[in-house]
Amino acid sequence: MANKKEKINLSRTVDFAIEKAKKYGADSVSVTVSKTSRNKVVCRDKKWEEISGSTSQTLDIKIFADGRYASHSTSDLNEDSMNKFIKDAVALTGFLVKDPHRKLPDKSLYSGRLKTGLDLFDSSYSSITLDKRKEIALKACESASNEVGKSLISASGTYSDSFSEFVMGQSNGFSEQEKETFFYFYADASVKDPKGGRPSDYEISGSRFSGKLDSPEIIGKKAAQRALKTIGAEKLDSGTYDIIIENRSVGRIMGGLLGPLHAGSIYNKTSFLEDKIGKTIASKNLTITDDPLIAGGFGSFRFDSEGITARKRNLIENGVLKTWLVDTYYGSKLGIQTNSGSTGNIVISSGLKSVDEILKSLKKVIYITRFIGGNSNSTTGDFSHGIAGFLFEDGKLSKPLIEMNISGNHSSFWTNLTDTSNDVYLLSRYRTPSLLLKNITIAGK
Amino acid sequence: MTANKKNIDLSRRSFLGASAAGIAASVFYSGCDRNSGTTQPEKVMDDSTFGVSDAVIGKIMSKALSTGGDFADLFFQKKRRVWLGLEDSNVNKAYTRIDMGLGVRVVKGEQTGYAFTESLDEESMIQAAEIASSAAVGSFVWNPKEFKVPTTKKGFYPSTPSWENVSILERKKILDKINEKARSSDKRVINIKVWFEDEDSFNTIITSEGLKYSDHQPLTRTYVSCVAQKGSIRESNMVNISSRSGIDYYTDERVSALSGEVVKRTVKLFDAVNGPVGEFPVVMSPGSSGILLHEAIGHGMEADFARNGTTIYSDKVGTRIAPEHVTIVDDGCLQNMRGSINRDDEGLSSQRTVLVEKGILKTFMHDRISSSHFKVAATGNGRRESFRHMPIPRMRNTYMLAGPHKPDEIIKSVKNGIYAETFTNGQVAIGAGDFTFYIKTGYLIENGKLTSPIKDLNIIGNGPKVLDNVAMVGDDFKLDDGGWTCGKRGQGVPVGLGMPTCLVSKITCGGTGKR
Repeated sequence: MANKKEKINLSRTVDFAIEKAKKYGADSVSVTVSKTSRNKVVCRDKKWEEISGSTSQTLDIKIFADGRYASHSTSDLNEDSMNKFIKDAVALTGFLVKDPHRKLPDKSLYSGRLKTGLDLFDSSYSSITLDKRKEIALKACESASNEVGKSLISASGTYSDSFSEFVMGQSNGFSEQEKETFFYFYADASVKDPKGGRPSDYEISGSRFSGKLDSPEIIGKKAAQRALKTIGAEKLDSGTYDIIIENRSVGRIMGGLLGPLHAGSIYNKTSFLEDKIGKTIASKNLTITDDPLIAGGFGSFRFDSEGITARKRNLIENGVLKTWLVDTYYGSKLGIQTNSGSTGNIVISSGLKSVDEILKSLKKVIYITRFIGGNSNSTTGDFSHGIAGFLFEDGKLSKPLIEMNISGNHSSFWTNLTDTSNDVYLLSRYRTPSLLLKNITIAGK
Repeated sequence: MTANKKNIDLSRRSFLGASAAGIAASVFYSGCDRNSGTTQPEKVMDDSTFGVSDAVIGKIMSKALSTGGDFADLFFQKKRRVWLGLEDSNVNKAYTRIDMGLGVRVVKGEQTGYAFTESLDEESMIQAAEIASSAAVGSFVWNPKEFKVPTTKKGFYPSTPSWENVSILERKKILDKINEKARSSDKRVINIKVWFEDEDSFNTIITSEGLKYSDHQPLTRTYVSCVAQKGSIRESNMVNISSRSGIDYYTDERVSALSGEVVKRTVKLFDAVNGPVGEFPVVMSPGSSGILLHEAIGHGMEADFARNGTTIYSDKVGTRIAPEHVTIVDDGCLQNMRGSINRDDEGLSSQRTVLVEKGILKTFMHDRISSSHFKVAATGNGRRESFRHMPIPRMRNTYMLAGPHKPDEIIKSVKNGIYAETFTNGQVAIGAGDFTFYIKTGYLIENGKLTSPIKDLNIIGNGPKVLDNVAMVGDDFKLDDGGWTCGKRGQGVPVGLGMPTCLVSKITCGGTGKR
């Protein structure tokens, strides 16, 4: 379904853009030209709701001219249009205030880059047919519908895949390219709740490789079972509870801890982690690793958006904060070593027990399966998020929960982590186990 | 799998200065009847289809409908955006972006085929039409027709000059002014950042029914973030304002109010305590509290969810869902508001749509597919993020009309509760009905009086229950001028909010303080 024609030569376009930018007065330039094809099929209640497919293309250009900096992008890759676009872009940069900290990365940061790929690309992508996409979406939808049975309101199966490739070049000689594919599908089921609600839940499968997707029948069935379990949800009294955060939801709350590690946040004085390097900020059970080099990982890359070579690094090691995330610009402003401002896969160390074993070992625990809304204050570390999930008592599912809220401060919250499960979620750049935390503030009735 | 997520801060004050109430009220009560008054052809740009001839458009349309689709539309768009950033008191970064392309949609019953192309050559456009046509199976010969430009009176963001003619230096002056004013207004301010955005979107929609409509949609938004320090304590906050306007929007008065507001809201946090934990009465401040409507009811009344039966309001049209004093409107016709549109992205006229009238649910918000499904009139809510996206039912500016109560009387009625003043974001699960909004600043209410400021707490409730619990509605309606962006099914669109002071008698508050 994607455009068959090869009209844009990515490498040639990169060279063209660098040459034009220099001609119009840029001192240095970084250019990325990318092309992405996406296809999507949605089946709802066994009928086709959406069939779509397109290819988009983008030129991204960073211009450093006379000590000034600006970045620009366009989807119009006609040569005459690009020529005018780049001329205007360089001219616009001239109106800004000079900023001595803007420069391309030190070339030493390009060394040691992997030459081979990270298993991010499935060469069979172009052979995937519309019929195959429809088959997966339909099966996931049918399986979810059938599993729900008479409580069904609506079920859907959604299949999507993408293929993107890009070439990145810089006026200092940096030149690289990458190809990536991504395949996923999910089933979603809405069910009748006698109390009047129409709760829904989903289950998803995804991979860099088409052949590694799960069976749509199983995913549909799991989605239905998840939705059915939420019928009759209610809220508990407010109080302090032990909680388990289901592996697939951990990334949502973890973002509030990791965002303030960016050097820009440190420089702008909006990070509660400013003076915490080398200090204990979490339980010794918590080790968080940034690993961009995992084969087939959803957050994997060999080099970051500046061209800096990707390396594995511990962010938090046994509870101790090890590093900030420093890009070239804020590294220069803070006068510290640049180590890449981008993170790849965020890996949380896993434990020995399955989540079921942990649940069974506890007298009373809230198992959080979904966050809704909420926010985190990067300057103070305060956070507050809506939650839904289940109450487990004496190791058994007691009741589904809804309309409750979790709150705390990231500088103390993670010290309450007492265990992590052995089942790591792999369908996200957050590769995390489920987490057990004790004595957490939960609002309800 | 939730319907909505917004990440944008917004303002409590309307920044409309002394004339705020007048402007809001006159727009508010004038209604939105596009058929009255003198009419003239709506402007079609000189080159509204970017050099694509009517003959080629006919070919694309024929290809789109060749498999038996009931309806097709072509959405040409060129969008030009500029961002300017100020840090360390210098405007030292900029970003510009150009997006241009054609989206082709084919509808067959309730099935949609969609494809876009960023290359406006005949071959690529025909190919997009072919992909979109795969939603239908069959054959059909479409007879080309003359595309008619509709007639109507002037729109809701009239004669705004294109931002393209505004120099970078003119924009830069605004950022510098905001920074200087904010830094000089309080010694505790240690950092100010400003992010200024403007865009011109030129859209042309052509339908298989023969409509051809072009629009220029201007939009601007400015964020200011502030960090202040008192002893070893640091606090930060931010405010943004937005409008479908040109550079004239940034009057000295408005710029000055914006700077003052962000500093005021930041230093207030030094005195703030953590909010309470548990169920409490919550008084919503006028203006941006409209986020409650957007989340608690708005998304649940978008008709694509109703069509699938997945919203909690699916079977509630014609029934009472709120007390008598609650009337809720979704309005695309407010002058220069962020969520206003002259026509929706299916080419249908924008409207002032009453969703809930005196507590009774009147209608869902429709796009073409859902209005045909329910056999009701369209409401002009079919919107899309860009030519890369298919239109779906979306909100425009959503607000509650003024009620009978005095704001003071509402606060006085609460013995132990909170006053929710400014917000950053919200979200809803439209089937289960649970929704949230995040309070950035507010106050405790103790014995009918506002006491300690509070900060950073999420509120979670159930949409229908909360609507039912709207116990009092103030007579102080206010539109908010914050830069809200609403996200749904991967598409972000600009929206507006409005609200009088109101009391929700019971809702769960997720602070960290004691109950």
